[in-house]
This record gives sequence, structure tokens and C-alpha cells, in this order.
Amino acid sequence: MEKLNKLLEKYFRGETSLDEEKVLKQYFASGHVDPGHEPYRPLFEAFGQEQEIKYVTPRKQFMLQGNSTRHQWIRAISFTGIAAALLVSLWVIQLPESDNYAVINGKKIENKEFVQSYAETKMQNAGNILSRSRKNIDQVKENLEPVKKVGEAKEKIQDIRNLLYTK
Amino acid sequence: MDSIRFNNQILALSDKLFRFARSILHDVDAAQDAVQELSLKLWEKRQVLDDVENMPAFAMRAMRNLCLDTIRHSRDMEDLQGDTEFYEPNPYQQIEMKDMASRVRHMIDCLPELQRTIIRMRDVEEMEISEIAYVTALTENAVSVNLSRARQKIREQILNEQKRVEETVWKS
Repeated sequence: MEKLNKLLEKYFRGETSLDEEKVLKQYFASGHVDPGHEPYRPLFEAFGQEQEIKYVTPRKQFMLQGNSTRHQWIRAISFTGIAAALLVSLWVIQLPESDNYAVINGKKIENKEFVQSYAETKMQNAGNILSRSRKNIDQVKENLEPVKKVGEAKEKIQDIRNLLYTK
Repeated sequence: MDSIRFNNQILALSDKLFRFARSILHDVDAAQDAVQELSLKLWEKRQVLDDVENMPAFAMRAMRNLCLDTIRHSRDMEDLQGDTEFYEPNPYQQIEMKDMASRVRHMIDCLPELQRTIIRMRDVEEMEISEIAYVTALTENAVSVNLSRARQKIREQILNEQKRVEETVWKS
């Protein structure tokens, strides 16, 4: 126990080696932590959680999100529109000898995996922008609802006027 | 460097680079963008990458510079002044951060950029002090000092949190 106390103090002073830190990580993950060390368990747990964070390409993220049908439909439309615009900036050329490459920012890129990932990210970003714009439009429509009532009020005033003048 | 080596050496670092960018930028979408942008830049310079001795450290350094540039352009260094003190999460955030480990991650997020970068490079990415010094362009001694400060701050906050929880239990 004394050894662990010293190691912890050394850790907080920033003086431990990677091997010593591995010992601490294993100790806190073991499930047999001394009650006096318990407050520090979440710290090492947090590092473990962060190590699990993976880079998810936008395509995988889209598939994993499990959005509602309506949301997916909106995105599908957005993606179709973006695809046309994307072709302007990302021109994929098929050579006669079936040698594939793409041009990104004026640079010829032959790495298929990279081009695919790059295109997906840009499409996802454009999709996000369109999705945000749509939300704004919906909000404007919502805010315009009271304006519609002006017409109704106008009709009512007209009715009152008619009643007054006919009498 | 050909496509296969590029994919094996650079694209294989995507998880690490993404976590790193996410920590600096505090934004998942921006971090995804940063990974793509850096990959593109490195692909354009692939001819000189063969001379790089430590590719992970080189890529991390490039990523940090890219992220700091992004922040400089978008927030006028607001995040880099080291004034992002830890704040008590609101009830909504508390529900989200129901476990203590999530709260610790929040505490790390609230550290100044340099400290949270260093603590994550060391404790999450398990990088050597010399590698962190290369990424941050600091001396190894300065890295150790910042690492110690970051860990001490988190320790202090964890113990305060513990005390607060115990007091709440006593009162109820």
C-alpha cells in the first residue's frame, strides 16, 4: 500500500514513467482498490474511456445514428443535391486504362480510400449546413404564424363596420 | 511514400488524431474536418514524409498547429488564454455526466489548452515526455511542469467534488 501511495504522489508530481503509470492503470482497473484511493479511480477510468473514442467516418456515423425515417429522408434529398454540387469541385476522371484518380483543390489524388473519406466528410458537412438552414426556415414559418391572424382580425373589423353602417 | 504506406502510417493514426483534435477544438464535427484536412495536407507532401523518423509525433504536431490556427481564426485566441476555469455543471449537464469519470473528463476539458493537451497526450495516448515536448515545441522540463500542474488541478477538483458529495449525503 505504501508503495502505491508513493507511486500516486509521484504520478501527481508528473514524475512517473510510462511503465509506472501502466501499473497504476492496472491497479485502478483491477476492481480491488483501497478505499483511500477510491477518489482517484474515476480519473483512470476517464482515461480508459477516452482511449475508446474512435474516429468514425461520416458515412459510418450516418448509419450508426439510426435517425427517424423523416430525418433520413431529408438527408437523402440533401445528399442528392450536394452530390451534383460536389462534382464541380471534386471531378473524378476515368482514364482509358482504368486508372482512377480525383482532383481535390486542384491536386491529383490517386488514393481511393482517402478520396472516399474526404468526399464523405464534405458531403456530411454540406448536409449539416442544409439541415441547419431548414431548421431556420421552419423557425421563420413558426414566427410568421401570428401574422396570419392579422387577416382574420381585419375580416372581423370589416364585419363590425358593416354592422355599424347598415344600422 | 505510396498509397499503401500512407494508408498504413497516416490513416491508421486517425483515431489518435481525432481524439487530439477533439480535445483542442471541443467540437466533434470540427475535429472530423481537421482529420480530413490534415490527411489531405500530408498526402500532398507525401514525398517528404519518408524522411520523418517518428510519424505519430510528427502528425500530432501538425494536428496541433492546424487546430490552433483554426481556433485563432474563429475565436481570436479566446480559448487559449488559460481562463477556462472549471465550473460546476448545471443540472442538465449533471444528468449527462452521471458517472464521476464523465465529470473528470469535463474537468480535463476545462483545463487551459496546453495542460489538457499535455495530460491527454500522456495519459490517454501514452506518449513519452520527449514526444510531447516535440509536439508542443516545449522543453521536456516545461512539459513535466505542465503535466504536474494539470494532474494536481484535477486531483484538487476530484477531492473537492468528493467532499461536496459527502456533505450532501450528511445533510440529507
